[in-house]
Amino acid sequence: MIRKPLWALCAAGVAALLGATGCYTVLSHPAETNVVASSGAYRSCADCHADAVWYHPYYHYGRSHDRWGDYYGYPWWYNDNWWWHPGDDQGPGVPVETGTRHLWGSGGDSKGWSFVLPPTPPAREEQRDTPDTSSEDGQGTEQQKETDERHLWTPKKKGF
Amino acid sequence: MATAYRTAALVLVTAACVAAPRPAAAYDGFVAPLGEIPVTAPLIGSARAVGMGGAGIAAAEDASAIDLNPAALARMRRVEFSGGLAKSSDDLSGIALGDEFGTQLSTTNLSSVRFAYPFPTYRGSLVIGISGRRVLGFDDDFYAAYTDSVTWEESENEFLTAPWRQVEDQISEGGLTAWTLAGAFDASPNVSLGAAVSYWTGDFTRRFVWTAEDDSDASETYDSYVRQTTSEADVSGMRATLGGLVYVTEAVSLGAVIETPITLTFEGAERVVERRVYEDYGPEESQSVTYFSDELKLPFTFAGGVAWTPTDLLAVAADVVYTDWSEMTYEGFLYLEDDASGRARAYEATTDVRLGVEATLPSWPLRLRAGYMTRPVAYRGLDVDQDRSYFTLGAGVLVDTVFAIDVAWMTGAWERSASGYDYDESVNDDALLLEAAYRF
Repeated sequence: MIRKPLWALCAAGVAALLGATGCYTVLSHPAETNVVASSGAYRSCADCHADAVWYHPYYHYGRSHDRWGDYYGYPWWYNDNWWWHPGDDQGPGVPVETGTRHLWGSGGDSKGWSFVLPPTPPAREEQRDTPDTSSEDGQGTEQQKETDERHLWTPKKKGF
Repeated sequence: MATAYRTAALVLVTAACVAAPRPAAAYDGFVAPLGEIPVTAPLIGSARAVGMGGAGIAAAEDASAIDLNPAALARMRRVEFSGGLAKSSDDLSGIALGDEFGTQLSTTNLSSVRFAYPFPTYRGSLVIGISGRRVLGFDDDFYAAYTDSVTWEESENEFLTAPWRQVEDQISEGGLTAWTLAGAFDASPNVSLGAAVSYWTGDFTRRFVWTAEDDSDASETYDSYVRQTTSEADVSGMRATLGGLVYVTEAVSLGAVIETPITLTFEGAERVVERRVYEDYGPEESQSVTYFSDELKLPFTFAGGVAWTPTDLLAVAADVVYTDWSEMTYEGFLYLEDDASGRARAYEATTDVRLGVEATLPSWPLRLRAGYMTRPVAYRGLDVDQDRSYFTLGAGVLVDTVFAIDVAWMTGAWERSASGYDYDESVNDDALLLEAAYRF
Protein backbone atom coordinates (compact mmCIF):
# COMPACT_ATOMS: atom_id res chain seq x y z
CA MET A 1 0.00 0.00 0.00
CA ILE A 2 1.46 3.31 -1.05
CA ARG A 3 1.20 6.02 1.50
CA LYS A 4 -0.61 9.20 0.65
CA PRO A 5 2.27 11.56 1.51
CA LEU A 6 4.41 9.71 -0.99
CA TRP A 7 1.84 10.24 -3.71
CA ALA A 8 1.90 13.89 -2.82
CA LEU A 9 5.67 13.78 -3.12
CA CYS A 10 5.32 12.33 -6.61
CA ALA A 11 2.88 15.04 -7.66
CA ALA A 12 5.10 17.75 -6.21
CA GLY A 13 8.09 16.33 -8.01
CA VAL A 14 6.36 16.30 -11.37
CA ALA A 15 5.09 19.83 -10.84
CA ALA A 16 8.55 21.02 -9.86
CA LEU A 17 10.03 19.31 -12.88
CA LEU A 18 7.66 20.97 -15.30
CA GLY A 19 7.89 24.31 -13.54
CA ALA A 20 11.66 24.33 -13.52
CA THR A 21 11.95 23.78 -17.25
CA GLY A 22 11.21 27.41 -17.89
CA CYS A 23 14.61 28.51 -16.66
CA TYR A 24 16.47 27.23 -19.70
CA THR A 25 14.61 24.51 -21.54
CA VAL A 26 12.17 25.85 -24.09
CA LEU A 27 9.24 23.65 -24.96
CA SER A 28 7.21 25.94 -27.20
CA HIS A 29 8.35 27.74 -30.30
CA PRO A 30 9.12 31.43 -29.84
CA ALA A 31 6.21 33.58 -30.91
CA GLU A 32 6.40 34.62 -34.55
CA THR A 33 5.79 38.22 -33.63
CA ASN A 34 8.98 38.17 -31.59
CA VAL A 35 10.92 36.77 -34.49
CA VAL A 36 9.64 39.40 -36.83
CA ALA A 37 10.26 42.14 -34.32
CA SER A 38 13.82 41.06 -33.72
CA SER A 39 14.71 40.85 -37.39
CA GLY A 40 12.67 43.66 -38.70
CA ALA A 41 11.32 41.52 -41.50
CA TYR A 42 9.66 38.20 -42.07
CA ARG A 43 11.92 35.19 -41.54
CA SER A 44 11.28 31.72 -42.76
CA CYS A 45 11.76 28.57 -40.66
CA ALA A 46 14.98 27.77 -42.48
CA ASP A 47 16.49 31.07 -41.40
CA CYS A 48 16.58 29.81 -37.84
CA HIS A 49 16.64 26.05 -38.15
CA ALA A 50 18.69 25.26 -41.22
CA ASP A 51 22.00 25.49 -39.39
CA ALA A 52 20.72 24.38 -36.01
CA VAL A 53 22.72 21.80 -34.08
CA TRP A 54 20.24 19.23 -32.87
CA TYR A 55 22.71 17.40 -30.67
CA HIS A 56 23.44 18.24 -27.09
CA PRO A 57 25.51 21.42 -26.84
CA TYR A 58 28.08 19.75 -24.56
CA TYR A 59 27.67 16.01 -24.78
CA HIS A 60 29.13 14.94 -28.12
CA TYR A 61 30.27 11.44 -27.31
CA GLY A 62 29.76 9.18 -30.31
CA ARG A 63 27.99 11.82 -32.34
CA SER A 64 30.46 11.67 -35.22
CA HIS A 65 29.75 7.98 -35.75
CA ASP A 66 27.47 7.65 -38.73
CA ARG A 67 25.20 5.16 -36.96
CA TRP A 68 25.56 5.58 -33.20
CA GLY A 69 25.40 9.32 -33.66
CA ASP A 70 21.91 9.27 -35.07
CA TYR A 71 20.80 6.51 -32.72
CA TYR A 72 21.64 8.53 -29.66
CA GLY A 73 21.66 12.10 -30.77
CA TYR A 74 19.16 12.87 -33.51
CA PRO A 75 15.91 14.20 -32.06
CA TRP A 76 12.92 12.12 -32.98
CA TRP A 77 10.77 15.17 -33.56
CA TYR A 78 12.91 16.32 -36.49
CA ASN A 79 12.53 13.15 -38.46
CA ASP A 80 9.45 14.07 -40.44
CA ASN A 81 8.91 17.70 -39.76
CA TRP A 82 11.38 18.93 -42.34
CA TRP A 83 11.04 17.77 -45.92
CA TRP A 84 11.17 19.24 -49.37
CA HIS A 85 9.49 18.88 -52.70
CA PRO A 86 11.74 17.32 -55.34
CA GLY A 87 11.32 20.37 -57.52
CA ASP A 88 12.51 22.74 -54.83
CA ASP A 89 16.15 22.16 -55.66
CA GLN A 90 15.67 23.25 -59.29
CA GLY A 91 14.42 26.68 -58.45
CA PRO A 92 11.05 28.26 -59.05
CA GLY A 93 11.50 28.83 -62.79
CA VAL A 94 11.22 25.28 -64.05
CA PRO A 95 7.87 24.82 -65.82
CA VAL A 96 5.80 21.77 -65.06
CA GLU A 97 3.99 20.28 -68.00
CA THR A 98 0.48 19.21 -67.33
CA GLY A 99 -2.32 17.77 -69.40
CA THR A 100 -0.16 15.18 -71.19
CA ARG A 101 0.72 11.57 -70.59
CA HIS A 102 4.34 10.84 -69.70
CA LEU A 103 4.86 7.62 -67.80
CA TRP A 104 2.10 5.54 -69.29
CA GLY A 105 1.37 7.43 -72.49
CA SER A 106 1.01 5.93 -76.00
CA GLY A 107 4.66 6.65 -76.78
CA GLY A 108 4.07 9.69 -78.92
CA ASP A 109 3.13 13.21 -78.29
CA SER A 110 -0.13 14.95 -78.80
CA LYS A 111 0.47 14.91 -82.54
CA GLY A 112 0.86 11.16 -82.74
CA TRP A 113 3.90 9.25 -84.09
CA SER A 114 6.04 11.78 -85.92
CA PHE A 115 9.34 13.54 -85.65
CA VAL A 116 10.85 16.73 -86.90
CA LEU A 117 14.39 17.58 -88.03
CA PRO A 118 16.69 18.42 -85.13
CA PRO A 119 18.16 21.89 -84.96
CA THR A 120 21.24 22.26 -87.13
CA PRO A 121 24.41 21.80 -85.01
CA PRO A 122 26.47 24.99 -84.81
CA ALA A 123 29.64 23.07 -85.69
CA ARG A 124 28.28 22.07 -89.05
CA GLU A 125 27.31 25.65 -89.79
CA GLU A 126 30.89 26.78 -89.04
CA GLN A 127 32.36 24.02 -91.17
CA ARG A 128 30.34 25.25 -94.08
CA ASP A 129 32.11 28.60 -93.81
CA THR A 130 35.61 27.10 -93.80
CA PRO A 131 37.24 25.68 -96.91
CA ASP A 132 37.68 21.93 -96.80
CA THR A 133 38.76 19.40 -99.37
CA SER A 134 36.61 16.62 -98.04
CA SER A 135 33.05 16.41 -98.96
CA GLU A 136 30.43 17.48 -96.39
CA ASP A 137 28.57 14.24 -96.66
CA GLY A 138 31.71 12.13 -96.08
CA GLN A 139 32.87 14.06 -93.02
CA GLY A 140 29.46 13.93 -91.50
CA THR A 141 29.29 10.19 -91.89
CA GLU A 142 32.74 9.72 -90.28
CA GLN A 143 31.85 11.77 -87.23
CA GLN A 144 28.74 9.72 -86.60
CA LYS A 145 30.78 6.50 -86.67
CA GLU A 146 33.29 7.78 -84.13
CA THR A 147 30.58 8.43 -81.61
CA ASP A 148 29.84 4.72 -81.59
CA GLU A 149 33.46 3.57 -80.95
CA ARG A 150 35.81 3.40 -77.97
CA HIS A 151 38.44 6.10 -77.74
CA LEU A 152 40.38 6.22 -74.47
CA TRP A 153 41.06 2.55 -73.82
CA THR A 154 40.75 1.11 -77.35
CA PRO A 155 43.95 -0.21 -79.05
CA LYS A 156 44.61 1.74 -82.20
CA LYS A 157 46.79 0.87 -85.15
CA LYS A 158 49.74 3.11 -85.67
CA GLY A 159 49.57 4.87 -89.06
CA PHE A 160 47.65 7.32 -91.04
CA MET B 1 6.87 -40.74 32.23
CA ALA B 2 7.25 -40.74 28.49
CA THR B 3 3.93 -38.91 28.27
CA ALA B 4 5.38 -36.28 30.47
CA TYR B 5 8.24 -36.01 28.09
CA ARG B 6 5.86 -35.46 25.24
CA THR B 7 4.10 -32.63 26.97
CA ALA B 8 7.22 -31.06 28.34
CA ALA B 9 8.76 -28.22 26.45
CA LEU B 10 11.71 -29.41 24.48
CA VAL B 11 14.70 -27.22 24.31
CA LEU B 12 17.32 -27.91 21.76
CA VAL B 13 20.30 -25.71 21.53
CA THR B 14 23.65 -26.38 20.09
CA ALA B 15 26.53 -26.86 22.36
CA ALA B 16 28.30 -23.94 20.85
CA CYS B 17 25.84 -21.63 22.51
CA VAL B 18 27.04 -22.67 25.93
CA ALA B 19 30.62 -23.47 25.18
CA ALA B 20 33.46 -21.05 25.58
CA PRO B 21 35.19 -19.28 23.98
CA ARG B 22 32.64 -17.86 21.59
CA PRO B 23 33.64 -16.95 18.09
CA ALA B 24 34.34 -13.39 17.15
CA ALA B 25 31.64 -13.51 14.55
CA ALA B 26 27.97 -13.80 15.33
CA TYR B 27 26.96 -17.39 15.78
CA ASP B 28 23.45 -18.41 16.61
CA GLY B 29 24.20 -22.11 16.61
CA PHE B 30 23.74 -22.53 12.90
CA VAL B 31 26.50 -22.31 10.38
CA ALA B 32 24.13 -20.74 7.86
CA PRO B 33 24.37 -16.97 8.16
CA LEU B 34 20.69 -16.65 8.97
CA GLY B 35 21.17 -13.23 10.47
CA GLU B 36 22.47 -11.70 7.26
CA ILE B 37 19.81 -9.59 5.59
CA PRO B 38 20.29 -9.86 1.80
CA VAL B 39 19.71 -6.23 0.91
CA THR B 40 23.20 -4.76 0.92
CA ALA B 41 24.12 -5.59 -2.68
CA PRO B 42 21.46 -4.05 -4.93
CA LEU B 43 21.44 -5.28 -8.50
CA ILE B 44 22.67 -3.12 -11.34
CA GLY B 45 20.07 -3.40 -14.03
CA SER B 46 21.76 -1.80 -17.02
CA ALA B 47 23.70 -4.04 -19.37
CA ARG B 48 25.76 -1.11 -20.63
CA ALA B 49 26.66 -0.05 -17.09
CA VAL B 50 27.43 -3.61 -16.00
CA GLY B 51 29.72 -4.00 -18.98
CA MET B 52 31.55 -0.90 -17.79
CA GLY B 53 32.06 -2.20 -14.28
CA GLY B 54 28.77 -0.80 -13.06
CA ALA B 55 29.75 2.79 -13.80
CA GLY B 56 27.02 4.89 -15.32
CA ILE B 57 26.18 7.82 -13.09
CA ALA B 58 27.87 10.28 -15.44
CA ALA B 59 28.00 8.06 -18.52
CA ALA B 60 24.39 6.92 -18.91
CA GLU B 61 22.81 8.07 -22.14
CA ASP B 62 19.83 5.79 -22.54
CA ALA B 63 16.72 4.87 -20.60
CA SER B 64 18.78 3.10 -17.96
CA ALA B 65 19.46 6.59 -16.64
CA ILE B 66 16.11 6.24 -14.89
CA ASP B 67 17.83 3.92 -12.45
CA LEU B 68 21.44 5.09 -12.63
CA ASN B 69 21.08 8.84 -12.59
CA PRO B 70 17.76 10.46 -13.50
CA ALA B 71 19.53 13.63 -14.60
CA ALA B 72 21.22 11.75 -17.45
CA LEU B 73 17.79 11.26 -19.00
CA ALA B 74 18.16 14.80 -20.30
CA ARG B 75 20.68 13.48 -22.83
CA MET B 76 18.02 11.51 -24.62
CA ARG B 77 16.72 12.79 -27.93
CA ARG B 78 14.70 9.80 -29.05
CA VAL B 79 11.85 7.77 -27.62
CA GLU B 80 13.12 4.48 -26.28
CA PHE B 81 11.51 1.26 -25.22
CA SER B 82 13.84 -1.35 -23.81
CA GLY B 83 13.90 -4.49 -21.73
CA GLY B 84 16.26 -7.17 -20.61
CA LEU B 85 16.90 -10.49 -18.97
CA ALA B 86 19.46 -11.42 -16.37
CA LYS B 87 20.83 -14.84 -15.60
CA SER B 88 22.80 -15.16 -12.40
CA SER B 89 24.74 -18.10 -11.06
CA ASP B 90 26.06 -18.53 -7.54
CA ASP B 91 28.42 -21.28 -6.55
CA LEU B 92 28.84 -21.62 -2.81
CA SER B 93 31.34 -24.01 -1.32
CA GLY B 94 33.22 -24.33 1.92
CA ILE B 95 33.78 -26.17 5.15
CA ALA B 96 31.45 -26.19 8.12
CA LEU B 97 32.65 -27.82 11.31
CA GLY B 98 35.05 -29.98 9.39
CA ASP B 99 32.64 -31.14 6.67
CA GLU B 100 32.67 -29.79 3.15
CA PHE B 101 29.55 -28.35 1.64
CA GLY B 102 28.59 -26.84 -1.68
CA THR B 103 25.56 -25.62 -3.56
CA GLN B 104 24.93 -24.19 -7.00
CA LEU B 105 22.12 -21.83 -7.82
CA SER B 106 21.11 -20.43 -11.18
CA THR B 107 18.20 -18.11 -11.82
CA THR B 108 16.92 -16.16 -14.81
CA ASN B 109 14.69 -13.17 -14.35
CA LEU B 110 13.32 -10.21 -16.22
CA SER B 111 15.85 -7.59 -15.23
CA SER B 112 14.25 -4.45 -16.55
CA VAL B 113 11.66 -2.86 -18.78
CA ARG B 114 11.88 0.83 -19.54
CA PHE B 115 10.26 3.59 -21.52
CA ALA B 116 11.59 7.10 -21.99
CA TYR B 117 9.98 9.98 -23.80
CA PRO B 118 11.82 13.20 -24.66
CA PHE B 119 9.50 16.12 -25.17
CA PRO B 120 10.19 18.14 -28.30
CA THR B 121 12.15 21.16 -27.26
CA TYR B 122 13.56 24.15 -29.04
CA ARG B 123 16.27 24.56 -26.44
CA GLY B 124 17.44 22.34 -23.62
CA SER B 125 15.77 19.06 -22.79
CA LEU B 126 12.82 17.60 -20.94
CA VAL B 127 12.53 13.83 -20.67
CA ILE B 128 10.33 11.57 -18.61
CA GLY B 129 10.66 7.85 -18.16
CA ILE B 130 9.16 4.89 -16.39
CA SER B 131 10.82 1.64 -15.59
CA GLY B 132 10.40 -1.60 -13.77
CA ARG B 133 13.69 -3.02 -12.62
CA ARG B 134 14.65 -5.90 -10.40
CA VAL B 135 16.62 -4.25 -7.62
CA LEU B 136 17.06 -7.06 -5.12
CA GLY B 137 17.19 -10.81 -5.45
CA PHE B 138 16.56 -13.09 -2.53
CA ASP B 139 17.41 -16.32 -4.30
CA ASP B 140 19.80 -18.34 -2.20
CA ASP B 141 20.62 -21.96 -1.55
CA PHE B 142 22.56 -23.29 1.41
CA TYR B 143 23.08 -26.88 2.47
CA ALA B 144 25.55 -28.13 5.04
CA ALA B 145 25.84 -31.45 6.85
CA TYR B 146 28.12 -31.93 9.81
CA THR B 147 28.45 -33.53 13.21
CA ASP B 148 28.37 -31.23 16.17
CA SER B 149 27.27 -31.17 19.74
CA VAL B 150 23.61 -30.72 20.61
CA THR B 151 22.12 -30.01 23.99
CA TRP B 152 18.63 -31.30 24.59
CA GLU B 153 16.29 -31.80 27.51
CA GLU B 154 16.33 -35.52 28.12
CA SER B 155 13.83 -35.31 30.94
CA GLU B 156 12.38 -32.50 32.95
CA ASN B 157 15.24 -30.12 33.84
CA GLU B 158 17.78 -32.75 32.77
CA PHE B 159 19.92 -31.45 29.94
CA LEU B 160 22.38 -33.61 28.07
CA THR B 161 25.02 -32.75 25.50
CA ALA B 162 26.38 -35.07 22.84
CA PRO B 163 27.40 -34.97 19.17
CA TRP B 164 24.53 -35.47 16.73
CA ARG B 165 24.52 -35.59 12.98
CA GLN B 166 22.99 -32.35 11.70
CA VAL B 167 21.85 -30.91 8.40
CA GLU B 168 21.04 -27.30 7.60
CA ASP B 169 19.02 -26.81 4.45
CA GLN B 170 18.01 -23.32 3.47
CA ILE B 171 16.33 -22.15 0.28
CA SER B 172 15.13 -18.61 -0.21
CA GLU B 173 13.39 -17.14 -3.21
CA GLY B 174 11.90 -13.89 -4.35
CA GLY B 175 13.00 -10.43 -5.19
CA LEU B 176 11.98 -6.82 -5.39
CA THR B 177 11.07 -4.81 -8.44
CA ALA B 178 11.33 -1.06 -8.37
CA TRP B 179 8.69 0.69 -10.44
CA THR B 180 10.09 4.11 -11.11
CA LEU B 181 8.79 7.35 -12.53
CA ALA B 182 11.59 9.72 -13.42
CA GLY B 183 12.09 13.04 -15.13
CA ALA B 184 14.95 15.28 -16.11
CA PHE B 185 15.52 18.64 -17.71
CA ASP B 186 18.35 20.93 -18.70
CA ALA B 187 18.60 23.73 -16.16
CA SER B 188 21.33 25.41 -18.19
CA PRO B 189 23.44 24.47 -21.20
CA ASN B 190 25.80 22.46 -19.00
CA VAL B 191 23.63 21.42 -16.04
CA SER B 192 20.95 18.75 -16.04
CA LEU B 193 18.76 17.87 -13.09
CA GLY B 194 16.57 14.87 -12.51
CA ALA B 195 14.41 13.13 -9.96
CA ALA B 196 12.74 9.78 -9.59
CA VAL B 197 10.23 8.16 -7.31
CA SER B 198 10.30 4.39 -6.96
CA TYR B 199 7.77 1.99 -5.55
CA TRP B 200 9.43 -1.26 -4.54
CA THR B 201 7.33 -4.36 -4.43
CA GLY B 202 7.96 -8.08 -4.36
CA ASP B 203 7.96 -11.13 -2.19
CA PHE B 204 10.27 -13.12 -0.02
CA THR B 205 10.08 -16.81 0.79
CA ARG B 206 12.52 -18.74 2.91
CA ARG B 207 12.44 -22.33 4.08
CA PHE B 208 14.99 -23.40 6.62
CA VAL B 209 15.14 -27.02 7.74
CA TRP B 210 17.33 -28.16 10.58
CA THR B 211 17.64 -31.89 11.07
CA ALA B 212 19.43 -33.46 14.03
CA GLU B 213 19.84 -37.24 14.30
CA ASP B 214 21.06 -39.07 17.32
CA ASP B 215 23.26 -41.39 15.32
CA SER B 216 25.47 -42.13 18.34
CA ASP B 217 22.43 -43.14 20.40
CA ALA B 218 23.30 -40.68 23.10
CA SER B 219 19.66 -40.12 23.98
CA GLU B 220 17.30 -42.72 25.34
CA THR B 221 14.35 -40.53 24.53
CA TYR B 222 14.84 -39.18 21.01
CA ASP B 223 15.94 -40.56 17.69
CA SER B 224 15.80 -37.32 15.76
CA TYR B 225 14.46 -33.83 15.67
CA VAL B 226 13.46 -31.76 12.63
CA ARG B 227 12.40 -28.14 12.62
CA GLN B 228 11.19 -26.55 9.42
CA THR B 229 10.63 -22.83 9.38
CA THR B 230 8.86 -21.39 6.35
CA SER B 231 8.53 -17.64 6.06
CA GLU B 232 6.55 -15.91 3.35
CA ALA B 233 6.15 -12.16 3.07
CA ASP B 234 4.99 -9.49 0.69
CA VAL B 235 7.41 -6.62 0.53
CA SER B 236 6.83 -3.00 -0.36
CA GLY B 237 8.45 0.36 0.10
CA MET B 238 9.07 3.68 -1.56
CA ARG B 239 12.08 5.85 -2.13
CA ALA B 240 13.05 8.99 -4.01
CA THR B 241 16.19 9.68 -6.00
CA LEU B 242 17.72 13.01 -6.90
CA GLY B 243 20.32 13.33 -9.61
CA GLY B 244 22.50 15.99 -11.16
CA LEU B 245 24.81 16.15 -14.12
CA VAL B 246 27.34 18.87 -14.89
CA TYR B 247 29.31 19.21 -18.10
CA VAL B 248 32.63 20.59 -16.96
CA THR B 249 33.95 20.54 -20.49
CA GLU B 250 32.79 18.87 -23.67
CA ALA B 251 34.89 15.87 -22.68
CA VAL B 252 34.25 15.67 -18.95
CA SER B 253 30.95 15.38 -17.14
CA LEU B 254 30.29 14.85 -13.46
CA GLY B 255 27.25 13.20 -11.95
CA ALA B 256 25.83 12.88 -8.47
CA VAL B 257 22.94 10.87 -7.07
CA ILE B 258 21.26 10.82 -3.68
CA GLU B 259 18.88 8.03 -2.81
CA THR B 260 16.66 8.63 0.17
CA PRO B 261 16.14 6.00 2.86
CA ILE B 262 13.49 3.43 2.15
CA THR B 263 11.40 1.53 4.65
CA LEU B 264 10.59 -1.92 3.40
CA THR B 265 7.56 -3.52 4.97
CA PHE B 266 7.58 -7.29 5.15
CA GLU B 267 4.06 -8.55 5.81
CA GLY B 268 3.55 -12.26 6.00
CA ALA B 269 3.51 -15.38 8.08
CA GLU B 270 6.03 -17.74 9.57
CA ARG B 271 5.08 -21.36 9.94
CA VAL B 272 7.16 -23.60 12.19
CA VAL B 273 6.76 -27.35 12.00
CA GLU B 274 8.56 -29.47 14.58
CA ARG B 275 8.88 -33.20 14.27
CA ARG B 276 10.23 -35.23 17.15
CA VAL B 277 10.88 -38.90 16.73
CA TYR B 278 10.82 -40.71 20.05
CA GLU B 279 12.53 -44.01 20.53
CA ASP B 280 9.48 -45.52 22.21
CA TYR B 281 6.56 -43.71 20.67
CA GLY B 282 7.60 -42.85 17.17
CA PRO B 283 7.08 -39.45 15.55
CA GLU B 284 5.14 -36.54 16.87
CA GLU B 285 4.56 -33.35 14.97
CA SER B 286 3.52 -29.92 16.07
CA GLN B 287 3.27 -26.65 14.27
CA SER B 288 2.60 -23.01 14.87
CA VAL B 289 1.94 -19.99 12.71
CA THR B 290 2.94 -16.44 13.45
CA TYR B 291 1.79 -13.49 11.39
CA PHE B 292 4.12 -10.55 11.28
CA SER B 293 4.69 -7.14 9.83
CA ASP B 294 8.33 -6.15 9.96
CA GLU B 295 9.87 -2.88 8.91
CA LEU B 296 13.37 -2.75 7.51
CA LYS B 297 14.79 0.68 6.86
CA LEU B 298 17.62 1.09 4.37
CA PRO B 299 19.81 4.17 4.74
CA PHE B 300 20.78 6.98 2.38
CA THR B 301 22.98 6.19 -0.57
CA PHE B 302 25.32 8.82 -1.97
CA ALA B 303 26.95 8.29 -5.32
CA GLY B 304 29.17 10.28 -7.61
CA GLY B 305 30.58 9.62 -11.02
CA VAL B 306 32.71 11.04 -13.76
CA ALA B 307 32.70 10.36 -17.48
CA TRP B 308 35.63 11.29 -19.65
CA THR B 309 35.44 11.13 -23.42
CA PRO B 310 38.94 11.94 -24.67
CA THR B 311 37.80 11.20 -28.20
CA ASP B 312 34.44 10.91 -29.82
CA LEU B 313 34.75 7.12 -29.83
CA LEU B 314 36.12 6.39 -26.37
CA ALA B 315 34.51 6.80 -22.97
CA VAL B 316 36.00 6.21 -19.55
CA ALA B 317 33.71 6.19 -16.53
CA ALA B 318 34.17 5.88 -12.79
CA ASP B 319 31.62 5.81 -9.99
CA VAL B 320 31.84 5.81 -6.23
CA VAL B 321 28.81 4.64 -4.25
CA TYR B 322 28.69 5.11 -0.49
CA THR B 323 26.13 3.62 1.85
CA ASP B 324 26.41 3.53 5.61
CA TRP B 325 24.72 0.22 6.27
CA SER B 326 25.30 0.60 10.00
CA GLU B 327 22.34 2.97 9.91
CA MET B 328 20.09 0.19 8.73
CA THR B 329 17.33 -0.49 11.24
CA TYR B 330 15.25 -3.59 11.74
CA GLU B 331 13.21 -2.97 14.85
CA GLY B 332 16.13 -0.87 15.98
CA PHE B 333 19.76 -0.82 15.02
CA LEU B 334 21.41 -4.15 14.28
CA TYR B 335 24.19 -5.28 16.60
CA LEU B 336 26.46 -8.27 16.68
CA GLU B 337 24.97 -10.59 19.23
CA ASP B 338 28.29 -11.89 20.47
CA ASP B 339 30.03 -8.58 20.86
CA ALA B 340 31.13 -8.02 24.43
CA SER B 341 30.27 -4.35 24.44
CA GLY B 342 26.96 -4.95 22.75
CA ARG B 343 27.50 -1.87 20.62
CA ALA B 344 29.24 -3.32 17.59
CA ARG B 345 26.99 -2.88 14.62
CA ALA B 346 26.27 -5.93 12.50
CA TYR B 347 26.74 -3.91 9.31
CA GLU B 348 29.28 -1.34 8.31
CA ALA B 349 29.55 1.39 5.73
CA THR B 350 30.65 0.36 2.27
CA THR B 351 32.12 2.26 -0.64
CA ASP B 352 31.78 0.68 -4.04
CA VAL B 353 34.30 1.70 -6.67
CA ARG B 354 33.30 1.10 -10.27
CA LEU B 355 35.56 1.65 -13.25
CA GLY B 356 34.76 1.09 -16.90
CA VAL B 357 35.74 1.89 -20.43
CA GLU B 358 33.82 1.80 -23.69
CA ALA B 359 35.32 1.87 -27.18
CA THR B 360 33.31 2.50 -30.31
CA LEU B 361 34.59 0.90 -33.47
CA PRO B 362 34.81 3.60 -36.13
CA SER B 363 33.41 1.69 -39.06
CA TRP B 364 31.27 -0.84 -37.23
CA PRO B 365 28.05 -0.42 -35.28
CA LEU B 366 29.72 -2.05 -32.31
CA ARG B 367 30.81 -0.91 -28.88
CA LEU B 368 33.08 -2.93 -26.64
CA ARG B 369 33.20 -2.51 -22.88
CA ALA B 370 35.20 -3.67 -19.91
CA GLY B 371 35.26 -2.81 -16.26
CA TYR B 372 36.10 -3.60 -12.69
CA MET B 373 33.98 -3.15 -9.61
CA THR B 374 34.48 -3.56 -5.89
CA ARG B 375 31.48 -4.28 -3.71
CA PRO B 376 32.64 -4.70 -0.12
CA VAL B 377 30.60 -7.01 2.06
CA ALA B 378 28.69 -4.97 4.63
CA TYR B 379 27.78 -7.79 7.01
CA ARG B 380 30.23 -8.22 9.87
CA GLY B 381 28.85 -11.46 11.21
CA LEU B 382 31.54 -13.34 9.32
CA ASP B 383 35.17 -12.45 8.85
CA VAL B 384 35.84 -11.32 5.30
CA ASP B 385 38.99 -12.99 3.99
CA GLN B 386 38.67 -11.82 0.40
CA ASP B 387 36.33 -8.96 -0.27
CA ARG B 388 33.86 -8.94 -3.10
CA SER B 389 34.92 -7.65 -6.49
CA TYR B 390 33.92 -8.22 -10.11
CA PHE B 391 35.40 -8.11 -13.55
CA THR B 392 33.01 -7.25 -16.33
CA LEU B 393 32.84 -7.38 -20.10
CA GLY B 394 30.18 -6.08 -22.43
CA ALA B 395 29.22 -5.16 -25.94
CA GLY B 396 26.59 -3.13 -27.70
CA VAL B 397 25.46 -3.79 -31.25
CA LEU B 398 23.36 -1.50 -33.35
CA VAL B 399 21.39 -4.00 -35.40
CA ASP B 400 19.51 -1.35 -37.31
CA THR B 401 19.29 2.37 -37.08
CA VAL B 402 16.65 2.04 -34.38
CA PHE B 403 17.36 -1.28 -32.69
CA ALA B 404 20.26 -2.04 -30.38
CA ILE B 405 21.29 -5.03 -28.31
CA ASP B 406 23.52 -4.86 -25.26
CA VAL B 407 25.06 -7.80 -23.51
CA ALA B 408 27.19 -7.86 -20.38
CA TRP B 409 28.91 -10.48 -18.32
CA MET B 410 30.30 -10.11 -14.84
CA THR B 411 32.14 -12.50 -12.63
CA GLY B 412 33.21 -12.05 -9.06
CA ALA B 413 34.18 -13.88 -5.93
CA TRP B 414 34.63 -13.46 -2.20
CA GLU B 415 35.55 -15.54 0.80
CA ARG B 416 34.44 -15.45 4.40
CA SER B 417 35.13 -17.46 7.50
CA ALA B 418 34.38 -17.86 11.18
CA SER B 419 37.21 -19.40 13.11
CA GLY B 420 35.03 -20.07 16.13
CA TYR B 421 33.20 -22.93 14.47
CA ASP B 422 35.59 -23.90 11.72
CA TYR B 423 33.58 -22.27 8.98
CA ASP B 424 34.87 -21.16 5.59
CA GLU B 425 32.86 -20.22 2.55
CA SER B 426 33.82 -19.27 -0.97
CA VAL B 427 31.35 -17.70 -3.35
CA ASN B 428 31.66 -17.37 -7.11
CA ASP B 429 29.07 -15.06 -8.56
CA ASP B 430 28.44 -14.77 -12.30
CA ALA B 431 25.78 -12.85 -14.14
CA LEU B 432 24.83 -12.44 -17.77
CA LEU B 433 22.62 -9.58 -18.88
CA LEU B 434 20.92 -9.20 -22.22
CA GLU B 435 19.01 -6.06 -23.15
CA ALA B 436 17.32 -4.85 -26.29
CA ALA B 437 16.30 -1.29 -27.03
CA TYR B 438 14.12 0.15 -29.74
CA ARG B 439 14.25 3.84 -30.50
CA PHE B 440 11.41 5.51 -32.28
